[in-house]
Amino acid sequence: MTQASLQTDELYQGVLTRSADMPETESRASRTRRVGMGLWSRLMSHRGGRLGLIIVLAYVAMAATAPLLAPYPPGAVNLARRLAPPAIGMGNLLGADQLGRDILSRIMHGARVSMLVGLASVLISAASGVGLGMVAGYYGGALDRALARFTELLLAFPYLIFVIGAMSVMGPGFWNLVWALSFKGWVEFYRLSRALVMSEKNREYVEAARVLGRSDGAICVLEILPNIVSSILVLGTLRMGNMIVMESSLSFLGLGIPPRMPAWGSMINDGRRYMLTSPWVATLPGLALALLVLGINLLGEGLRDVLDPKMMEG
Amino acid sequence: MSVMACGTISDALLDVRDLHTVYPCARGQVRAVRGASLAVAPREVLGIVGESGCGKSALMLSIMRLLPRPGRTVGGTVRLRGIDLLGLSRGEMRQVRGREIAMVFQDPMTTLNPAHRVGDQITESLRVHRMMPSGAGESQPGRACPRSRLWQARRAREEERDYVIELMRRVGIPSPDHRHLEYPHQFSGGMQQRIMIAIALACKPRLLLADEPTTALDVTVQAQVLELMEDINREMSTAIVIVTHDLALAGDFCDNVAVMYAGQIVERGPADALMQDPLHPYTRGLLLSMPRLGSRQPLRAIQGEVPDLTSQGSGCAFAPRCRQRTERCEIEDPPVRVVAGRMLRCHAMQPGTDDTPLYDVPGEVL
Amino acid sequence: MIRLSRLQVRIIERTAATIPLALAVAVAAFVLMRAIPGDPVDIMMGEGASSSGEEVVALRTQLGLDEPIHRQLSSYLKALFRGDLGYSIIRSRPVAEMIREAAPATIELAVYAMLFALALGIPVGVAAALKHNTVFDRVSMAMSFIGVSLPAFWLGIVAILVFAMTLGWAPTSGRIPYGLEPRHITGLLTLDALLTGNMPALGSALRHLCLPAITLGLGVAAVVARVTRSSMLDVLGSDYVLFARAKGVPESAVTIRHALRNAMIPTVTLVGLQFGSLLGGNMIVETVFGWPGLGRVVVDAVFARDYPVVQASVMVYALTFVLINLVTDVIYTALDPKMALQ
Repeated sequence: MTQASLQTDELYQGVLTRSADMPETESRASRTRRVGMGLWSRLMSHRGGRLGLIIVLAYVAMAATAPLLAPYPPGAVNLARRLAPPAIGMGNLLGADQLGRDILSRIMHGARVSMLVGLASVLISAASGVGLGMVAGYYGGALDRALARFTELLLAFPYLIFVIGAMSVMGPGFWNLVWALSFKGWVEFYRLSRALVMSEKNREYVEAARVLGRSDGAICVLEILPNIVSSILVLGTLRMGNMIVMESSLSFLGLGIPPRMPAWGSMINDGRRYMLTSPWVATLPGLALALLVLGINLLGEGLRDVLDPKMMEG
Repeated sequence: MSVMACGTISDALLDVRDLHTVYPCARGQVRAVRGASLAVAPREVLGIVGESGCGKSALMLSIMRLLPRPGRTVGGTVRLRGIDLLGLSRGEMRQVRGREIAMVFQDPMTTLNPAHRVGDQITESLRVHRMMPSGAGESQPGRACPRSRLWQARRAREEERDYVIELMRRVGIPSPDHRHLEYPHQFSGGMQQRIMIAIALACKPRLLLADEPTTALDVTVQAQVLELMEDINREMSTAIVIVTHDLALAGDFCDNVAVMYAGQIVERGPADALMQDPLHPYTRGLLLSMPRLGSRQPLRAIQGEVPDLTSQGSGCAFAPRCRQRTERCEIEDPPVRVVAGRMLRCHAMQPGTDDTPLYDVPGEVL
Repeated sequence: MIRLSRLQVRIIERTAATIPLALAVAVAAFVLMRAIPGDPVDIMMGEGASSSGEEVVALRTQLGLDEPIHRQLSSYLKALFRGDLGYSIIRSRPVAEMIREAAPATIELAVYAMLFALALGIPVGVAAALKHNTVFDRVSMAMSFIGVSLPAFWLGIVAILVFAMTLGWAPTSGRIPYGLEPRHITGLLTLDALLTGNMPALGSALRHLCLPAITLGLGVAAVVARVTRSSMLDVLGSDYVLFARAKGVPESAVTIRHALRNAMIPTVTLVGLQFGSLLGGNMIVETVFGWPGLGRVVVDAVFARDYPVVQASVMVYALTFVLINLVTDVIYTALDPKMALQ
């Protein structure tokens, strides 16, 4: 997919410049306090981030309340209103598809699926990637080398190809999709956290903790992790947008979640046939998708702007 | 050279008066240069000494009009042989740079373009200012038909190359006939600095600005590069302004020394006199804080901190740290005055008002 | 002893390192398809068809699924070295042949998409860096941000609606009308048309390429613009640019001779990476535009549960990506001045 892997490169650059400038001896507690305090207000004052957050929250709200607020059940077929155009007041606010199902309701329910898939994939990818990355970065050695080979291999496969290949064997399904997305998605979290851990583990606060007798595990989790969590958060936010787009692409191809559940991608695919006469069927779900991804990216960029340079100020 | 009293020099090579430069930033405006004045005579070697952040680099960049984007010069004049550089158009200023005034920087590894050959970087200077080394390019006098363009071009290139090789030899780079084809990373730090000097001298400028040219080098190499600069000053009659944080270096190497603090020149005078008998409390503090070989006295620091340059406070910038401060110092910015053959910005220090001798007040912090 | 330049040594090193990777990729493609939970035969048979025992067994034998796994792997690898990529169940053709037929279309599309991305992205990025913090800068960065966020398949559909159906500026699908094709030399229509001097074919092929290439390339263009801009900004603030200005070099020469050359190096690496995402994305775009390329082959195969084709295609895509990374690495090394010397 043509989603930006740029953000990761920029994150890496952030890592490199950060490690040159950051104070080495600040304790975890004071740094966490410093970062937490004012983070919210800084995000709010960042124009893009604020907009992104609003958009994302709106979608979350829409997804959460879909069963309650959607005007029609998403699967309700109504052949009388087949391909009805969008009209205020009269029935279908955003029009109806080729089976007369209300597009607005289907978009709202589709949001649930997309966001759940995105969230689950990102969480699993992040958890496994960060866990492995911290271990590999901290200890190095044979595990690090083996994982380096393995990730190199995984990275040779373009993301979409990999997922399509996996899904074609597993068949459609929510958890199949999440698994397929996560199996390749963890690599980026792995690389980022490994690079961060390797630059952090030589800092003096780590040495101080070791001198105090803390175990390696405690050091990793309690000392290092809070300092790298912000970069992970930025990466996770940006990747979630990717994964949602990929889920939609797969639904578009008919490979994603089971066809009974409304999904933006399959809605777009269904609507292709009617593009000339009833363009809203395909265009509106795509617009919903584009808007969500835009909001997520804005939020991610806002988080990155707010978190990384501030951390450099020390 | 005797010190220049401000305001009366018409034959100065460089005459900076009351220069103000600011960098706008998120928290306000950083006033990097706040009314600095200095003058450089032809063939003079002037040292500008100050701590990090005192504005000395900003001063140099302001003179060259090379301030990075948000920064700008908002007041004062910079006269080069009578012409105010700040009033020139961009194109005109470009012709001044490299040709009338040249500048070398601190770290030659990052300042030389890693992707270009060394000889080419020197030649670029020549070509940009269209300075054929010998004025070749015209037809030979007395010839009935002028030589072809191609031949002239080739001749010009050969002359350039010869000139470049000679220049490199002059600055002390061995085997220049081979090495001018090499890239910067193939030279050591000291050699790279020499190359940078060669580039600066290519168009035979009258004034060379050097921003901490030896700070990145080893001590022995430092001495060599300084020696080179001395030679250049003597042989090519090039005036040099050298910016450094090393007071001892300035004292040894320069004719005159100007001390800079918080964006202003607070004292300026002949190097020997200034080192022996500093007048401004800051200069005294600097001299006292220099560790002396063989001395067992405790190090003395100047108490306090460098002021925040975004503040608009009135009064002398050094006042908070100054033991000689009076009430007047906190209200009124000291004017530039000539005292005992030196330029001085201080209310408190007048000749004869203070005879605290140097170097023998044990344990006292100035 | 032959004296090799550092560059040549590096090329050999990298190529040698790639071979085991390529091998691993081939094995991984195999493992991917076999080791994932889910029985392809079940899925093929599933969906309502009555699975008589014989049919299932016959299918398994045909797919080679009845043998122990290591035997499957070795026969797979042996076939691979022979150039045999398997046999399509649905179309009853060697997979290698199918791929060979479809590849030029995908290559052509990817190349034009990348050309478009570079032609749009690099100038915009450079201009945005030079006009830092002006309206142009902000607007172009905002647009590139949007370009990165828009899903390609939706963009394609909308583009078809607007430009093809409504405005009629471009054809709605396909690569070239039947009967207009130039003589087959390379399979790349524009190249073949050029080589045979077939102007109408060239025109038609280019017109058909427009929308898909732009759709596919827009996302890459956005990324290229952003990276070019940020690396130009870095370079423009660097010491050697300052020194060049201090020499009196005019701004245009500073930009071109000093800044651009060093700023382009990250862009080259990026181009290589983005080719990978182009390869991934073109499946969607090919489906939307009805482009007869490898992506379409894969998608059709997935739908038809034609597993040999899917497996072979996955492997081909991955190997291509590895190859592109190798080439990018070599080019990057050649550009780096420290490497370009004896």
